[in-house]
Amino acid sequence: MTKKTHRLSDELQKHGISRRSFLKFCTAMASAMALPPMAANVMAETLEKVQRQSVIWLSFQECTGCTESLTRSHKPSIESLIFDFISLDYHHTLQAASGDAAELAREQAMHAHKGKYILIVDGSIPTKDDGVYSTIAGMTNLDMLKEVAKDAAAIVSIGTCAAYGGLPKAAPNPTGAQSVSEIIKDKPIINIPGCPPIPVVMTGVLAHVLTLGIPELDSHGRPVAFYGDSIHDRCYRRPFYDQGLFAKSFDDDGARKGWCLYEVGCKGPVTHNACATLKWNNGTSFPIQSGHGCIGCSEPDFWDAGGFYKALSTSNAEPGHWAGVALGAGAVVGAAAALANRHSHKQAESDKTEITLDDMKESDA
Amino acid sequence: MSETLADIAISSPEVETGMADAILMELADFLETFAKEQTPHSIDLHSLPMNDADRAALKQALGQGEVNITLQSMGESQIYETAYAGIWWLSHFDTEGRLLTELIEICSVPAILIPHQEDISRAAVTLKTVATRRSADD
Repeated sequence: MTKKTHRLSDELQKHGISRRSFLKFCTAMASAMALPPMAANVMAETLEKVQRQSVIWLSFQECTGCTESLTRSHKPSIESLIFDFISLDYHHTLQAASGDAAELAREQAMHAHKGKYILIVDGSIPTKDDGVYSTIAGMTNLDMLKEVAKDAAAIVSIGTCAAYGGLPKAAPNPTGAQSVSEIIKDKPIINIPGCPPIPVVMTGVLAHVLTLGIPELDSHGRPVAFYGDSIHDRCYRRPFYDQGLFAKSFDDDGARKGWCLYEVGCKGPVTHNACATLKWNNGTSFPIQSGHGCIGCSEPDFWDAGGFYKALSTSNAEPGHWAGVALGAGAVVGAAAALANRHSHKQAESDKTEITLDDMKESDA
Repeated sequence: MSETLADIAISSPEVETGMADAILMELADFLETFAKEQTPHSIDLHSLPMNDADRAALKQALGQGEVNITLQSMGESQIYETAYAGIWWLSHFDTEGRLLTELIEICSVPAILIPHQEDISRAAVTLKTVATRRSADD
């Protein structure tokens, strides 16, 4: 570092990215995060003064779905500008280097930006038998996480696996999978759960960290801006719930009319995420809009929460936040849902349904 | 009986929910404040649970004023002043025409339209160079 490093805005201007594009990006991010009105201007002003942020991305016990979600969901779009704001110094799926050269890049970035780099993790960390179930370049995920986390400024756990253990942690958890926050205790950790998370949520949180610092987090370590509301709160089918109009099985009359999917197992009321407003596939739709209940993928231990097709109050979930669904009307509806589950087969038959709720439950078990 | 996808209703009913009236009332308060104290404000329509009917009703109620601007910056942005001076409707699209954000701003001029001082300074230098070169060529 002989010269003063260039400001990000100068670097971007050279690439033909104007200040207005910049402001547009920040407006989109601020909007997605429901920040106060003037936040976009503050973000833009800060962002143009900072230097490129070094980011080291470690992928552990994962399926690469989170990386896919972030990098491939859109063709070049405003959200992909985030890659101009950060310097992705290590990401073993995306980087050109391999083998020793790749590991060297990681070590160099760790050294050059000691105490300043952001560590992004996707995937859970196997801890059983000293973590032998997943290794990179001969090093266990457990050791690599500890080594890279030591000098990181902050850690972002992307996806439910890194945030809460996710699928690898599902019972009986053969590899002893753990989340990042179960292992690292002395660093600020932001959880961005989802299987995968919504791309703009990842981008938005990174933009927030770069400009306004670590966002406000909820009790599960998630940014309140994106995870503050439940799916149910923002669901366009909510009016049907309030009127007590429910689909009793997939493909019955209620399902065709777009009624609430609560009784066929929708986990919207206990799931905190932004799917209902930000949606998926370029804002096209989200599971409930496509006729399927929410499976609760951004909540801890969603895989073991009692079955995707069982109505919430009848599910055999472990005690905890999943089971305690005393949602005013929800509690009353719960009793009805238990009954409805029992009668759904008959009901489905009369509606000439091909797939019944019971069929779904069987395949789910 | 053959059914097409369109026959299977999985969309929300397009009836007004009263959201447009609520936003109008909010806007009236903000505009009153802006008129007195010049405090700008904005409402982000993207995160509100509005359906198309609500949006259309709100657009109609606010009407169109004299200014209509198209911005080309990482995709198009359409910005127009409503029939109420100081209330602007902004729609930002990405390069593929996908709607990114939709806002209503209460201000004199939306910030994104005002050129940055640094850009003006840089442009001044560039223009001087170009103008000098042209007159030298003549």
